[in-house]
Amino acid sequence: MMEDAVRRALVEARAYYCLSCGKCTASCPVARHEAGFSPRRLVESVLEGHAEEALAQGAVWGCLTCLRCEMLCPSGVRLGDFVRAVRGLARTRDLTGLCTHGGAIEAWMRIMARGDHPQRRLDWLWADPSLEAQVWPPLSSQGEGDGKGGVLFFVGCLPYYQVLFADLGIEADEMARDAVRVLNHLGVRPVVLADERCCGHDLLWQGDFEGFARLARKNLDLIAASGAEQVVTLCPECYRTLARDYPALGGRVPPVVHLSEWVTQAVREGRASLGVLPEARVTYHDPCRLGRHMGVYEAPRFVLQSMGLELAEMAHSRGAALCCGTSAWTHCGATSKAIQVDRLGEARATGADLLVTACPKCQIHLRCAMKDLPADSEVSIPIRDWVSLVAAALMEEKTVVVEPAVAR
Amino acid sequence: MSKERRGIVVFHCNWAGRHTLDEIGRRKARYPTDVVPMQVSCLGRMHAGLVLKALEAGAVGVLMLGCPEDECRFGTDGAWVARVHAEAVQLARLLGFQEEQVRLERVGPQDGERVRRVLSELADAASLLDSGGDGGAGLASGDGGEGSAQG
Repeated sequence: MMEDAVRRALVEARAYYCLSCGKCTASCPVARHEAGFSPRRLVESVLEGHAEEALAQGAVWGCLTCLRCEMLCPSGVRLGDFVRAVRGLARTRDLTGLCTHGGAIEAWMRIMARGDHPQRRLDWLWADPSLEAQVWPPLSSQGEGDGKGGVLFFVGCLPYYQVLFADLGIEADEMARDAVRVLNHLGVRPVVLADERCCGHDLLWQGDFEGFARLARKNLDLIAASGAEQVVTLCPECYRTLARDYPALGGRVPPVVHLSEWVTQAVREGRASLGVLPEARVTYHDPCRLGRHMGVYEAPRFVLQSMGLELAEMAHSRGAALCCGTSAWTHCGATSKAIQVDRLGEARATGADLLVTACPKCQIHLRCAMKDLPADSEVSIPIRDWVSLVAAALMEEKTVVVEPAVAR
Repeated sequence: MSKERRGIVVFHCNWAGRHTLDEIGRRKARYPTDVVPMQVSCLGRMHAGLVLKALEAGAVGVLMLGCPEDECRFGTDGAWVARVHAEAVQLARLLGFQEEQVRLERVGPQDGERVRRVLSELADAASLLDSGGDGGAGLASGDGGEGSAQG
């Protein structure tokens, strides 16, 4: 049984094509800081029949699934898929990665998967009465029909991050509001789900396939019931999960786009114009899920430049971008911090006034790394999400640079 | 914690929290039977994740029980505990639980009666939540009440 599962993981990840060239290890951001970490050796040991020993290795959980290695692998080995499958096998042996944030995030994902309490997740929306959105199922006060033909804004876990990471100064609720402001500016009154669940990305990449499937089925039912014919996401992980992993489960999802693609298309087609921001030099951090996983590199850059910002590229960008150091809320440690400090150093080296990300989790991780450093550290830099900048332009804010508001 | 009789998890510190639970036991005072005491060295070691894990496991109430703010043996728990409790309440609320299901009480060893009352209130709230009646009524009745602080 185990042997079959291992063989299937190897075949599906094309691991039999591995040439043992070591490009994966040479390009791996984790291996740069952990001498013993080697994606090549992980694949090799499973290929050589030592799956049980491999499952117990930290490498199974230390991998960021950032796919930097896949960009360079001459044999097209899908290391990300391989690590995900191996994590699923490790779970059958009760092996898991190091828990982070007291297990709060896994707990809320599993409570949502159980789904016996309707959530109260829309306070961020009620906080600004000027926002135009349609809640599904409709509220009695709205007294409206359905979202048929509508555009669904899949919010993700932003309201939860607002609570858990408030000390990092992340304005997650405001990011959700900014996304609605931008959609409203484009003439869209998005549908939001009153009881939307976590997309399940993190359970999936922790190897908890059953938990992921439970969340996915609930979201698929909700999306279908809403009648929406288009889904827009702000979080790149929701984007990947809804666009790729739900269909892989057999779920029918309307077309999914990242909001930056939507805005870019509207501007290019002349359907919308973005405001102009005060002069500033910014650098853009490519989130792994948006960039290497989904191939979206240009849209956020186009949006930033459309608003008159000067864009400076980091030493590693687009397909070669450094990961923010942690994924799937697992196995965060000294290596994660070292990668984050590397990335912040690259951002500072551009001379940019502001580091722009397109992923709330990248922002959380990079802000967390700065929290551990002195306020005047040579890698500290203000961070904002791209959507906050678009909203800032619409609201004619006087400055784009907001100092890092990190509680110490 | 069986599905039929969902419990109340009490995270109590090694010091005043533990002694207060002990005090209830020594007095053989009645309190709800499905109380699950979980000892932590200090509430300063808590994280909102622990509270959510208890709710995930099926708890209908969570009580954080620790020393008065200025009497923490480690001198660290004041602001941190308040923050963890606030985070846990807000996250529980987002998840659809009632805010009253997550309580924080700072007690001295003579506060056994107060804690017993809080546990009963949590159990009462649980019975209201359990309109389906799968064990909530049993919790609320407080019968067989010599629960032990030693868990």
